[in-house]
Amino acid sequence: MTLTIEHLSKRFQEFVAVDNLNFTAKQGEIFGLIGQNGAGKTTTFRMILNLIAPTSGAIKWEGESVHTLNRDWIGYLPEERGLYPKMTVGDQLLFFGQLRGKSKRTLILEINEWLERFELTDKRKVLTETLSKGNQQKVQLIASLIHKPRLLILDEPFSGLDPVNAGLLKNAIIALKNQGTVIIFSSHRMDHVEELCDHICLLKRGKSLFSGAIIDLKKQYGKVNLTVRGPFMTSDLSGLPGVISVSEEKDMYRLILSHEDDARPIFKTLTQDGFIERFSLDYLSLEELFKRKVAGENV
Amino acid sequence: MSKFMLLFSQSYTSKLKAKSFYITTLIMLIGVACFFLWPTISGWFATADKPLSIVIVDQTKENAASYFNSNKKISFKTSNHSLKEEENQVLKGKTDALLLLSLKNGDQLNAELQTKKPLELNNQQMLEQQVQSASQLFTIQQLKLTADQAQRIMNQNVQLSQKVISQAAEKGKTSEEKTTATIVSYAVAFIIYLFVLSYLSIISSEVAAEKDSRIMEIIISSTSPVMHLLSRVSGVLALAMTQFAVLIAAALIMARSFQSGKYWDLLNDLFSSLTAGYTAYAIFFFFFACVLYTLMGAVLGSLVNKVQDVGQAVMPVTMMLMVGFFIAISGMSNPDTLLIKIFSYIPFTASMIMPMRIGATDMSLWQALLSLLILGGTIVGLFLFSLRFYRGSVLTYANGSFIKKIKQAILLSK
Repeated sequence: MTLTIEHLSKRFQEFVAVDNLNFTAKQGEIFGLIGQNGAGKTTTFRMILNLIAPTSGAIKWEGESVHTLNRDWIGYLPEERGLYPKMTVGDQLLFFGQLRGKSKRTLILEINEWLERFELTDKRKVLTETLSKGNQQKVQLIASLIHKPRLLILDEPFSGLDPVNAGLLKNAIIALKNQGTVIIFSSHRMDHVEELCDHICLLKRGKSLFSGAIIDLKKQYGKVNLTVRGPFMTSDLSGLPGVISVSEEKDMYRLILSHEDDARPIFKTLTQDGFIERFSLDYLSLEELFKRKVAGENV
Repeated sequence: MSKFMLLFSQSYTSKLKAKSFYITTLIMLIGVACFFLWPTISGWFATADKPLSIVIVDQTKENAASYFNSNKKISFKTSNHSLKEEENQVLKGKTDALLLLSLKNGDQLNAELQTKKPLELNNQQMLEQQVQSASQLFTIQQLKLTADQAQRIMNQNVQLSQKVISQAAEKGKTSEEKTTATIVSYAVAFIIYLFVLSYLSIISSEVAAEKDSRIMEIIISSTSPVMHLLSRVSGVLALAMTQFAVLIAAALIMARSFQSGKYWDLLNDLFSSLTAGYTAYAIFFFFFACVLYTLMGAVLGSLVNKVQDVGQAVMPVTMMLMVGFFIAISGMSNPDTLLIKIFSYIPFTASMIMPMRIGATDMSLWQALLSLLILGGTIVGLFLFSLRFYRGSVLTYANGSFIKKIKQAILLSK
């Protein structure tokens, strides 16, 4: 199963919300849509959900128009939390499951299973409004996947979750991925994206800055992220050839190189006096790449 | 279960189970009970009242005091004492008032009332009536008629019989039929006003809350905007009809059991004097009004961004409703004015005014049918129009006027 976005654009009068977007989300992969606020993530999701129509371009599911996709196969977690405050957690999940065409009998089993998994069993008969924000978030997530969707869209699923609950949620998402669900999600949290996604699309003001595998993006810049620990001074390091910047991070120094090949001469220079505790060369983090991409566009 | 039924029953049962529904129904039931128990309730307060005691000092020498008759509310007593003494009695509070009768121009009755403090309006009016009729009797007396002649003048009464002589015209209604219809129509207008006012805000807040919490996006991504709109409108309508049925049933039971069935007979008389056509029209107008305003409530709810803004958004609709209601009240005294005619065709007020015209004027029924068709057409038109932007409006969180929002919503719905 594959979701393909081809030359997708959405224009609101003069304002271009999404501009010629292309990407493919495949089964067994998690696809991340990354961008600042107003980048066009939610508009893209709404077009996939058929809530609004594209100005031009196509959204295809298995090569056919997305309109043919059975609505009961879609799961959607909106960015802002949508639950009925006066309904109990159990009724809420039952309602959203039935809304996606599942029968009451199958749902009851599923609900118990999911509540247990998310440590919410004791909250089944509790009114949703009395839950903490994190627990509401978990209920919302269960509501979006209780019907075993084939396409799951998660708009900022981690907002408001503590690390333990974020971990539970990540595991659930990975489990769904392994079951064959096509998952698209958006997040501001690059660490989550880096951990979960194989492919991403970087959005800025509706335009795609990059679309493809994370590793390809990283390779574009190469291994220019160097951390060292040893008896150095900042002034020693900043003078080295090929070093763009030096920053002190706790007991280490972090160096950004202009090119991956600059690392070898630096290694030689730093180790000429003997032992150093750390010399570690790596790709830039996704967050740094994102900042560079966004900043690069500004120049 | 189909998705429509799921959404409908969710909308209906969640509100049926809500405390606010029980409370409003209870308040309305208490209101109905008060209406049927009114004689008993007013009796509790009335028993304490003593009749107004009035002493008459008659200086006419024609025994004019005999024309004043005591009743439950006023007791008259002719004085044997001097004016001065009686004035003292009033000042001491032994009697409530002193009525001084004298002659004016030799043959007319002149009355003057002396009290310690001003009389209440009700007593003032009763006394004025008494003085008026005493004066008439006194004048008749002065004309030296026989008792029999005087009686004939007092008892004369004429009935105006009306006959439409053109062949084409329908038979006119009697004024009694018209009065009955006016009362029933007033009740219909009042019920519409009361129901629409409460359910308008219920539906618009429901839709606004679903939009605000983004539940709307989940619902319309799994069904369709049309289904959402229809399920919300029908859910709220079903709730309104449930409450209406409870109130009618309670009213009928109360009418049967309270005051030894006096009201039951009264209602029987009332409804037997109404034609089947009138009843059918009144029911249609009531139902259509509920549909129209519920639909408007849903659409307005979809246009606001926050639940807090609902009150402001439904304000113009509430105004329209009030205009209709007040015009209906003005029709109680004269249902034949041009104002009534005009507003009986405007769909937003027709349901409160047209039933009155049907019952209380001699218009032909095609006019009622026309008005009903206009109302029905408006509902269909509004429904089709709102479908054009409902999808867009539930996804728009922009600020600005409603016109601007509707334009934007239509753009987004394309």
